[in-house]
Amino acid sequence: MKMSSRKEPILLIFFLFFFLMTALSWGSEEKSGSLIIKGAKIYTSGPRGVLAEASLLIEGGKIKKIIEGSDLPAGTVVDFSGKCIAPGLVDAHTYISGYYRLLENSRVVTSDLEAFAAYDPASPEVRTALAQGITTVNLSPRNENLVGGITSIFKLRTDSLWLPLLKKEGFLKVSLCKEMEREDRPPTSLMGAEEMLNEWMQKAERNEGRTDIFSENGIVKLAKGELQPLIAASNYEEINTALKWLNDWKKRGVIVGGEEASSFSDELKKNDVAVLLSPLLLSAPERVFQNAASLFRKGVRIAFVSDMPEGEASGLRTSALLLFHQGISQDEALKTITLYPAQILGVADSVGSLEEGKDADFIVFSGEPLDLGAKVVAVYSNGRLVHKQN
Amino acid sequence: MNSGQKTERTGGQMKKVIVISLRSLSLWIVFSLLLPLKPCSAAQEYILLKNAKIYTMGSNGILEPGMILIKAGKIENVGKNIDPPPGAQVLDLTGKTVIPGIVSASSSLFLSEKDRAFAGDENPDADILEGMNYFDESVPDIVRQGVTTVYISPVSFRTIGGLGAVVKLPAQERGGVEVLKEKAGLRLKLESMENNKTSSLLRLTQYQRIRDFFLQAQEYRKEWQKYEKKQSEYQEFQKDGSDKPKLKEPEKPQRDEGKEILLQAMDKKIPVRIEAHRADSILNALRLGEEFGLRIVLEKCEDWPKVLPQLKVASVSLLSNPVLDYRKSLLPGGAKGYAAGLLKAKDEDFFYSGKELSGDSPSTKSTKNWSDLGAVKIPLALIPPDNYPLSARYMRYYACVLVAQGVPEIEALKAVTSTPAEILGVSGRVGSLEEGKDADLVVLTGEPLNSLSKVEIVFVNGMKVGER
Repeated sequence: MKMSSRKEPILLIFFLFFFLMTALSWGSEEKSGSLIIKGAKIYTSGPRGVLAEASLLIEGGKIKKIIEGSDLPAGTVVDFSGKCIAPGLVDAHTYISGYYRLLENSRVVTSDLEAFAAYDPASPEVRTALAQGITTVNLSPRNENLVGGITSIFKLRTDSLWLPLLKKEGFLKVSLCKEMEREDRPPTSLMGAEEMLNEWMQKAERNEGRTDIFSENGIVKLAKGELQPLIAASNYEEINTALKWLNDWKKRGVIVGGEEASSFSDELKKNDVAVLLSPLLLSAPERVFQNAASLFRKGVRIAFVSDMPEGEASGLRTSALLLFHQGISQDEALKTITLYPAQILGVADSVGSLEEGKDADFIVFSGEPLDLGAKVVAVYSNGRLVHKQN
Repeated sequence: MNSGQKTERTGGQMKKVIVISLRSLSLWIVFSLLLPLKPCSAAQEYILLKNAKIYTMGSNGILEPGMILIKAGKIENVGKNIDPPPGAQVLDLTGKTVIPGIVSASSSLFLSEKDRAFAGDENPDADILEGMNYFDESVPDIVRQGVTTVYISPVSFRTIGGLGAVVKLPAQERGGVEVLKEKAGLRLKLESMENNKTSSLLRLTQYQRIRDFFLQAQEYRKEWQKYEKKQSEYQEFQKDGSDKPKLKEPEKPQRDEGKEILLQAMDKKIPVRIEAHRADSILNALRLGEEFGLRIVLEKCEDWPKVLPQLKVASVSLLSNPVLDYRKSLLPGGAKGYAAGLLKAKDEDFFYSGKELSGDSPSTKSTKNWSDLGAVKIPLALIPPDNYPLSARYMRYYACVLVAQGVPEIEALKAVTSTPAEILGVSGRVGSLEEGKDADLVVLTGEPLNSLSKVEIVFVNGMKVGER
């Protein structure tokens, strides 16, 4: 008894300290005075294009002004003369830090699960991603469930307990790809999956609001149109089914995977379905790169994703580089890993490009952003240094 | 063919002749494929490349600008200023750079898909040249990216994998390959990707197994030496006369081609390429090298920084994967297993430091590692990270990644040109742009190790790739 009563004040002090630290780290996010990132070639990925010699004025974690020329206001100056600056990369589909926790095996439809619960900021993968300049991610449930759960869009951080969520509920992950089919439970085929998905949608429409009968809120939200589906579909049949399903239910959605999406480019464009493409691998045949470029040229909205940890953090830049080598300008190729994923995720008002009023998320490269030989000198997220070259 | 004759000396006499003729037959197939290309008109006349920035990777250093004169598939002259001979075709390459044809010190080319997956048998004399899939469709893509010379070998998941060769890729689609060096390496595997984390015992078994092979080869040599001694005594006796008691003709031991190959490796005639990932496996490899006098080339040895002093003493060469965050594929179950392992394993469980998983360490650690390696003058060449044939085409990007890791640009470029040529023993012909060497060169739109530069023209033996 005595022991426990003596412990209480210690615990209290500990908790007070804990809260104080949290509050402090939160506070520093907001206030930090004006920071000037001086003199670099800036790939804005925005309407201002590429600026040969410009500086960023950062206040409160946001870009206050992009200044061309050498007239700089007062503030803390960080000199990056001769370097290149690009927006922080946006990874629109990743299992970063929680691969095993992003799958609930007990049921095949788990539409209420929220992916951010599986996020672990202490994972070495987060440091790897930051070192490659990935600042925003869309953490997604895995492909093994027909309906895996709700994705979360947030900023990567290692240093804070506070998770900077951009969207707690991003998309509802629906999987039509091979991993979803299993012998020991339905659905065992693509047909079965479509049928099952339709049944769930009908049930949700019938029992709307009656949580005692129908507790899959994710599907209710999908039926109401509050959530868009993020449909994992790679090959021809899967993409065909996904497009047909979207059409039948008159829903807007996004396809992830999309290896054979180039066969559907007209339909994808007509229905404004964006495609999140799996990373282009250096070992893949030329045809895969050509397909990605043809989708892009036909005006389908595309973005590359990393699929970490199945793929690599460096996959984003490598994919954009390979797209560049298909004859697309570096500026446009870079947008497939910055602005376009941000637009597809619906977070382009704060991330994805360097514009006044947007978050100060950017990468400083020693050379051109898509040159694999360029070093990542520094990475900033919300105006804070999150990775530095040693 | 030289090494073929040497085998004859070490082993039997009669049967060997047949074996040699079989071997030369297989080479003839290769050369006959090449024949229709050789008397091409383009190779006969002079080609002068001028006004380019030339990375010779040889004694001339970097020429800015420089000129190269090509005649009959060879480099006739390299220098600041060369007068164009009459009738020469002059190419003005202002603003472009020229590097030697890229050399990939390992590849999975000319293997059919089954060969890449099938474990194969454990025989040292399985020669890639005798089982090549000549019509590998990935070859044109690879040459187009400037990779002109590759090491090819049977991919085996067994401990002893067989003999590799160095070949020049054809300039034309469906052209034949030219063999630069046969028996260019004997492949041994001290640990496989899958077991290097799971079982130390299995690795030890593999080490013992390889050792047994070499010990048996030593026994085999002794047996033959004994036979040859007896045989000469017998011959002597035959000449002498017949009044002494009869000496029986000695029985001839059975010839074993596999053991002959191991003997050649022990005589340092064939370098031994040992796949060893972990530091302890690398040390095992060095132990084998010391015991049997092998010339060692370490393959995929991610843990080399941990055993640098020992490597220096053993004077080995290194073939390293590009420094991608690749080590997850080393864990059981590949990438998926890696994710599982990550939750359960501590950082110490990740056993090699060549490629780091965490974001903050690669630049510091590996920059220091690379400069340490430079200081001890251990030759290092890059190899593709996996067994897909098309991975070999982006050797240049792997060198770029090395630059991003902090390796000086010229050193990284050496790791895909002159150093692999030296390690493979073909530096007399390829790997650098010098007088008398093969006219294999790559014209790029910009700096060679800026991955935004595009490959504009590739020459193989003085012929433009893709031109008829």
